[in-house]
Amino acid sequence: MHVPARLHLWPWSCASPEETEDLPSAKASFDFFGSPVISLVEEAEIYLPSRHERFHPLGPAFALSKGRCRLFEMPHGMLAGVMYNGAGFSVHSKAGGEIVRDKVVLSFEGVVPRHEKNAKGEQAESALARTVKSWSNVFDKLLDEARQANKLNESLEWLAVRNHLQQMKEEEKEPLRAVIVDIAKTMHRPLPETVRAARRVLLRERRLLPACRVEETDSACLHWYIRQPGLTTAEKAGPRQRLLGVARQETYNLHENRILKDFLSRCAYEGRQYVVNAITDNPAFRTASNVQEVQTLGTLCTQLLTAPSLEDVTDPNPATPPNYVLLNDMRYRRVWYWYQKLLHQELEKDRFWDWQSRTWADISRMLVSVAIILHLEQLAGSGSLRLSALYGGALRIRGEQALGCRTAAGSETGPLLVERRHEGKPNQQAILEIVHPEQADHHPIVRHLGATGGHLYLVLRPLPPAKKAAPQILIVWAAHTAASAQRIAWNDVYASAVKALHGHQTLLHMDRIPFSPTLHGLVLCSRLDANIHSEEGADNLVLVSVPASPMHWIDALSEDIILALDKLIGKMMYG
Amino acid sequence: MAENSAGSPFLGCAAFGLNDSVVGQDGMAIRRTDFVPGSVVLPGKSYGSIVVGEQAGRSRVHSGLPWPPEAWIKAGETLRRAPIFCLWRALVEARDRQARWEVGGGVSFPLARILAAHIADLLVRPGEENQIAACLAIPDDLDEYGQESLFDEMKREFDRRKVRGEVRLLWRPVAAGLSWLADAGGDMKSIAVRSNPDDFFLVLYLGPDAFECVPFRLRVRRHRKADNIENDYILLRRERPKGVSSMAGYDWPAGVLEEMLQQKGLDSAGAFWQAWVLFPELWAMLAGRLPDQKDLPRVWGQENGYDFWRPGSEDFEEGIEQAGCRPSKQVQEILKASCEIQGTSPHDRTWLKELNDLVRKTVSAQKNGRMVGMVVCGPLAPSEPPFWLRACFPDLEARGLDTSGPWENREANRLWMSPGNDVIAAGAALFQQRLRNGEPTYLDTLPQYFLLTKADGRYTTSPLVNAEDVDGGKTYTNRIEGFAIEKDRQRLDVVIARGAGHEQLLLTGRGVDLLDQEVGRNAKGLSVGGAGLVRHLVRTAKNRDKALERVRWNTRNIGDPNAALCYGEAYADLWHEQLEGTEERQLSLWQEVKSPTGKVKAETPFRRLTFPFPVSSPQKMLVELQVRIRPASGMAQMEVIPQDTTFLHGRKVFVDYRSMRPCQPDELVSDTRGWPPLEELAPHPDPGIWDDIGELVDDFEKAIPRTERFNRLLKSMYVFLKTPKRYIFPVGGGRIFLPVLSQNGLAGCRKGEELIAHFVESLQRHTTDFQRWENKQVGSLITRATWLYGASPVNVNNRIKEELTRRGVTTRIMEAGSRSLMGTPGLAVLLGCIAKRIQNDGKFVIQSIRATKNVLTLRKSGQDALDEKTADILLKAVLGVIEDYASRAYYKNKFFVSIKLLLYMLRYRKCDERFLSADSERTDEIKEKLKGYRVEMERNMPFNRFINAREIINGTIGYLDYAGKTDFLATLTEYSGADDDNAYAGDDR
Repeated sequence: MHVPARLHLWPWSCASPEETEDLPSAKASFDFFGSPVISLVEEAEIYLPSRHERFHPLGPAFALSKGRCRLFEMPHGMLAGVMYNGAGFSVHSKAGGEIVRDKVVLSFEGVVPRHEKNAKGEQAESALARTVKSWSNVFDKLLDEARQANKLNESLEWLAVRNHLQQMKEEEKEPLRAVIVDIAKTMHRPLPETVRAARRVLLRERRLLPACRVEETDSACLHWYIRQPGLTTAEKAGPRQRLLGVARQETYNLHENRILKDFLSRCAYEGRQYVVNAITDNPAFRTASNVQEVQTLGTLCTQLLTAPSLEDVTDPNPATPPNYVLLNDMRYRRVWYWYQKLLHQELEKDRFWDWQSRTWADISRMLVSVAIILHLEQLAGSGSLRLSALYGGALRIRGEQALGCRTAAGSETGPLLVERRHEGKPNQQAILEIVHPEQADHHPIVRHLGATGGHLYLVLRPLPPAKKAAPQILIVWAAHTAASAQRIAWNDVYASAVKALHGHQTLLHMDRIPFSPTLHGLVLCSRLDANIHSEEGADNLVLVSVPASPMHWIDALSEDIILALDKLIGKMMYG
Repeated sequence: MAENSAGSPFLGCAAFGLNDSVVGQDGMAIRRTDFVPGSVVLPGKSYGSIVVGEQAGRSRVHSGLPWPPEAWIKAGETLRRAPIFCLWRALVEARDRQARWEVGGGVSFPLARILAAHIADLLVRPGEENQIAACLAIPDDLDEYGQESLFDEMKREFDRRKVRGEVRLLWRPVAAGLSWLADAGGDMKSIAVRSNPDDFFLVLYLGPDAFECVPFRLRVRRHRKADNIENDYILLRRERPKGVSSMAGYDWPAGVLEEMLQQKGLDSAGAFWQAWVLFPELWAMLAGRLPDQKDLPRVWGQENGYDFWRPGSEDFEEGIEQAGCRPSKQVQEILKASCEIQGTSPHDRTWLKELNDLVRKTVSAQKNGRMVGMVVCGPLAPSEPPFWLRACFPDLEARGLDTSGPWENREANRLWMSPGNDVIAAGAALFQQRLRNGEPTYLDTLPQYFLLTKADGRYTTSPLVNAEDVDGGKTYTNRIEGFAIEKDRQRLDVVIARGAGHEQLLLTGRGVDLLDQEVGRNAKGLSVGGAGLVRHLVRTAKNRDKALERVRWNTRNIGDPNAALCYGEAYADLWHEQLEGTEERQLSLWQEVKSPTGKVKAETPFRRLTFPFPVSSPQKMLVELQVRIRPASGMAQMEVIPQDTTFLHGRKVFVDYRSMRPCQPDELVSDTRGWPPLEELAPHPDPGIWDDIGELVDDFEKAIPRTERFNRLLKSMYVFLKTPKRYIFPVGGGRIFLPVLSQNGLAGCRKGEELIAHFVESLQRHTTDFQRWENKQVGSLITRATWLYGASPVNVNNRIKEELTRRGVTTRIMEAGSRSLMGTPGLAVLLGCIAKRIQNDGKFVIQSIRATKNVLTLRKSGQDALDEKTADILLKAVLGVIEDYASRAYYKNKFFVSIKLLLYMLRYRKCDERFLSADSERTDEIKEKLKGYRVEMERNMPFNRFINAREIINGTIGYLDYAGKTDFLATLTEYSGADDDNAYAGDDR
C-alpha cells in the first residue's frame, strides 16, 4: 500500500485500537460483524473494480496522526465475493503527480453469502439476500406513494412514512409486494392477448423460386435474369426451373417480440424465485394471494413461451433501443414498461446486495426520523420531555440507489424544539438538529466528529444560547449485524460501542475544539429474526437490535427505538 | 378573455402576499389568510410542483434557519422561497419583459406562474366547486404583458387543478373605489356630479408590494336596466399611472429590521429573512396592530445558533418612525441572484414623511374640484388614521373632505379607513356582478401604444387606441391601415412604440428623407435660388461650422440675411446631424435605468412584433390590422385582414406575442442611413446671368421650327442652360459654379423663371407637329430641350416616352429622358429600357450609366421606378463596369460616376429591405471588392487624389453597412461631375 489505511471492525471503532488493524498489502483475514469501515487519507480514493464504483466517504474528514482521514464503508458483496473469487478493491492515490493504484484483497470470517443450499440441497437465495431484496421493494413502494402524493416533487411526509410502515405490519399475512407481484396483478389478462396477436410483418426477400411461382421481381432480380445463359425464360430457369424472384415471408422475429419473449422468460424465472423465497420465509405464504397470483403468472408465462409465434423469435440485443412499437403500441408499451422495471430490479438487487450495510444505515436513519415523529405524537405530554417540530422535512426517495442509499441527505425531520417541562410549564428549552453524515461538513459542531463514524447525529443546542452550556450530541450507529454469520453477543457489542464512545469523548477533549460536546450513542443493529432487544446501562448509550425484515420495523420503533430516543434525549437535556 | 358563463359563482380576490382575501358574490369574505407574509416554495427542478399556502409556510426550505442546509439564506445565492409581494413588485417592474425567478442550476420560473399558483390555491379548494369565475385585483401599474402572462398562467393552473375557471383582472384602486361607490355612490346626486366634473375621489392603498395613491374623477352614466328602468350610475374614471409606484411596502419593514439587526450586531441574512418573511409581528406593528402574544416567543435561528424572537411594540416604534424611505440593501442582496427588483425609489426622508407627501401631492395635483371621498385600504392600513395621515387633514379638509370620525363608514365626502384586502376583493366581485348584469362599471383609459408604419423608408405612427375613455370590462375595437406584406414574405413585421418615446425616432428616422424633401424647397424670406444656394453651401462644406460661415459670407446676395442664416442653420443641422448628432440622439431615445447592482440597462420604448402567415404572399399586399383590447385584460389582440381575401382563405392570423422583442432605436434609425440623400442642382441665384437670354427667347418664339435659325437659337439656349455659371462669394472671394436650372427646371430668380416659362411655352408650341420631324432632328431637339430638366415641354416628354417604347432606342434618348422625366411610370420605362439594353448588348455604356445615375440621384421617386429584376441587372452591370475600370487602373471620372451609381442604387433599399442587406454575402463581396480597389488606387493615383478617392470608397462602404455619412458626397460629386462636361461634347454632335 502506498498510503496508510486502517480497517475498523465496527463503524465506531476508530477510537478503539483493539478493533482496528493496519491494512497490509498482502491478503489478511478479519472477523466480520456486518459494518466494517476503512479509514484512509483524504487524498486517496477507493474503487470497487467490478463496476468502477467510487466509495462514498462516511462523514467529514478528521485528523489522525497520519494526516486527515476519512472513513469508508465496505461493500458486503465484495467481502462475500472474496471467499469465492478473492476479489478486492483498489485504492487510488497520488504520488509524484501520478495516480498509483493499490489492489487490496481482504478475507473476512463470517460473511453471509448470497446463495446457500436449502433443505432440499438446492442452491437458493439466503435469508439475508431475501431480506435485502425486500428492502428494495420497500423503497420502491415508498417512492410510488411519494409520486402519488406529490407527482412532481417525489417526497413523502414523514407521517406518511410512518403510516406506510404501519401498513406493512398489517400486511404481515402476505409476503412483501415486489415488481413481479405487480406484473402478476396487471399483466395477467393482457399478456395472452398480446402473445396471441403478436405483431408480424411480411418480409420481402430474393429467393430462387420455381419459375411458375415468380410473381414479383425487382431490378436485382432482372440483373440476375439477364446474366443467365439461354434465350427463353425456360432456358434461363435452368435444369431446376428456378428463377430469382421476390418472395414475401411472414415473420414474428421483430424487436418488440424479442422483448416480449424475454419478458415472459424473465417473469417465469422471477415468479419462481418469488414463490420459493416466500415459501422458504414462511410456509404459510403458500396460500397467500400474492404468491398464488405470481405462481399463476409463472405458469402462464411458461405456457405462452411455447406459442408457435414465438418459436423463431431470437433473444433481444441488449444494445437496441426501444422501437416505435414498444413506445407507442398500447399492448407492447405495457410490456416494455414492466420489462424495464424487471431489468432495473435485477440491477438494483445486485447493487443492494453489495452495499447492504449502507442500505441498513439508510433504513436506520429513516427509523430514527419516524421515531421522532412517533414521539411527537405518542409521547407529547406524557412525560416531562416534550418535542415539537419547528419545521418538518419530507423523505426524498431516490429513483435509483446511490451505493445502496435510496434516501437523499437532508430528508431528516426537524429542527425540533425540545422542552423539559415542570408542572406543565417549560423550564428548559433546546433545539434538536438532525444531521446526515453527508451534510456534516456544513454543521459547525458535527464537522469535528468525522472519526466517530456515526450514521446520523442528533445535536441538541441550548436555547437561549448560553456560553457555558455544552452542546449534546447523540450519535446513531447502524450496525448491519444480520450480515454476519458470527455469533454476536449484544452485550459485547454494547461494551464495544460504549468503549468507543468514551474514546471519542476523550479524543474530542484532547482536540480542544472551541466547544466541548458531550457524546451519547444509539446503536441500531440488524437481525434476521423477528425479535427486538435493547441493551442499555448507566452509560450514555443504548443498543437496539432491530429485525431486518421491514414488517417488524414498526414494532421496533414503537417499542424500543422511541423509548431509547426518549431516554437519550432526556439525558441530553439534563446535560 | 371569455365572458362569464352565467350561473357559475364568481369570486373577488386580492392576493398580494399579506392578509389575502377571497370574497364571494354576496360580498362576504370566503377565505382570508392570516396576517403573515405569504411565500411560495419553488421546486429545484423545472418540472417540479410549486408549494403554496400553508404548506409553503410549514416548509423549512430557505426559511433562514441555521440548519439544515436547505434552510440557509445566503446573500448572492439563489432562493427557492419567493415572497408573494416581491413577486408582484418584480412583475410590475418587468413591464413587458418576461421576468423569471431563478432557483439555481439553470432552472427558473416565470413570475406570473408562481403568482398564479398562489392565487389558484386561494380560489380553488379540493372538493369544492369546480367552476369558478374569479376577478383578481392587480396593481394599478401592472403592464399589459404582465396581465397577459397572468391570464395564461391562471388558465394553465386551473387546467392543472381540473377546474373550469374564468379570470378577469381589475385594477386594485378601482376595486376599492367600486366598493366605496356601492354604498357611498347613492349619497351623491348625479346632478351634482354632472355639474362638477372636476370633483375627485382618492384611494390610498398601503400594501406589502406597493403604496398607491390614486385619484379618480367621477362621471355619470345613464343606463337602462333589463326591467326598462333607467338609472344613473356614478362611475370612476381611471387615468393611467405615469410610471411604476415609487414606494414598495416591503422595504419599510426591511429597513426597520436592518437597523435593528445592526444595533444588535447581528449580521445574519437568515435571521433577517425569518423576521421579514416568516414572522408577522413587525408587519402587524406597521399596520397599527398589536402582535399576538400567544405565538410569542418564536424560535429565531441566527448565524450559529438560536434565540428567542420576542419583540415588543416599543422595540420597533422608533425604527418605524425613523426608517428612511429607500430600497433595502439586505433585501436586494438576498434576492439579486434569483430576481433583481429595484423596489422603492431612494428618497431623502422617512417613510412617514414620504407617505404624507404622497397624499398631499396627489391632492394638490387635482387643480379643481372638491374631494368627494377617500378610502385608505390595504393590509398595512390601520383602522384609525395614523398621525402622518392626520397631518394631511388640513389639506384634505380644504378640498372639502370631512375627516372627522368615525372612519369605518362608507359615506360621501368622508374618509373611510378600511384595513385589509376585503374591500378590494369585494370590489372585484362587484365588478363581476355588474358585468354579468350588463351594468356600467368604470371608465378606463387604454394604454398609449403606437404602431410604426414604414413607408418610403420612414416611419409614421398610428395609435393603437383611438379613444379617450372606454368602458371597463368592455372590448374596444379599432382598425388601422397602411401595412403591406412584401411579395414572397410569410410574415409581417411591425414595430410598436409605447407612450410618446417614439417621437424623437420619427424625427431621426426622417433625417435623410427630410433632406430629400428639402430639395428645391422654398424657404421663408428667400428666393428659390437663394434657398438652393444655402443648401449648396451647406452640402459642400466639411462641417456645420464651415457651412454656416459660408452662408454668412453670402447672405448679402441671397435675400434676407437673417432668413438665410436661419435656414442655413436649420439645414446644416439636418445635413450634418448624421455626422455629429446621431449618437447623442440615439442615446436620448433610451431611458437609462439603473439596476440595483448599478448596471445600466437600456430600456427602449420599441418592440418588434410578427404576424406569421401560413403561406407566402403572392404579391405585395395591403393589409389592415384589427385591434381588439379590453382594459386590464392583457395585450391587445391584433388580427391581420388582407385586402385580398383569397390570400388566407378565411384563416385568421393574429400577432404572435411570443415573437415580441425589444428593438433598439438604432435598428430603426439605421435603415435611413443605408442610402444617400438626393442630389440637388442649386440654380444660380443671380438674375444677371439671364441678361442676354431675353432676346434669345424672343427670337426663338418667332423662329420657324426645323429651320437653321431655329436650330441655332435652340443650340444657344442649350449651351446657356448646360453650362454652369460662376458664382463669386461676396465675402472671402471664393467661387463656385452653379447650374442655371434645378433638376425640376426652376431658375434661381424670378427673371429666369419668367424667361424659362416663355421659352418652354414657345418650344411646346413649336413641337406640336413632331410627326413631321425627321428622326435626326428629333434626336437633336430632345437632347437640347431636356436640359430644361423638369421644365421640359410635355411634347418632348411624350416623344421621349414614345421613343423609349420603340425598338432601337438610342442611349442619347435615354440620357435625355433621365433629365426631363419626373413621374415614376416614365422613369420605370426608362430604367427598364436601360436594363433591356444591358441584357441585349451585354454592355453598360457611359450614357446609360449617367441616365441611371440621373434618375436615382435627382428624382425623389427614382428608386420606386426600379423593380427587383431591374435593380439586379443594373447592379450587376455597374459592378461589372467598376471592375472593368479597376482592372485597367482607370480611376478617372467614369469610374467615379459608376461608384456614384452604385451608391445611389442603395436608395432601392427604401423599397426592398432585402436589397443588399447589410449582412448578405453579396454586400460583403462588394465591400471586399471596394477595399481591393482602394488598395490598387494607392498604387495608381497621385497621393492627394488618392486621399479623396479613399474617402469616397470608405463612405460608400459606410452606406453599405447602414452607417452612411454625408461628408464625402461633395467630393464624390466633384470627382464624377467633370464627366458630365465630357458628355457635353457628345451631346453636341
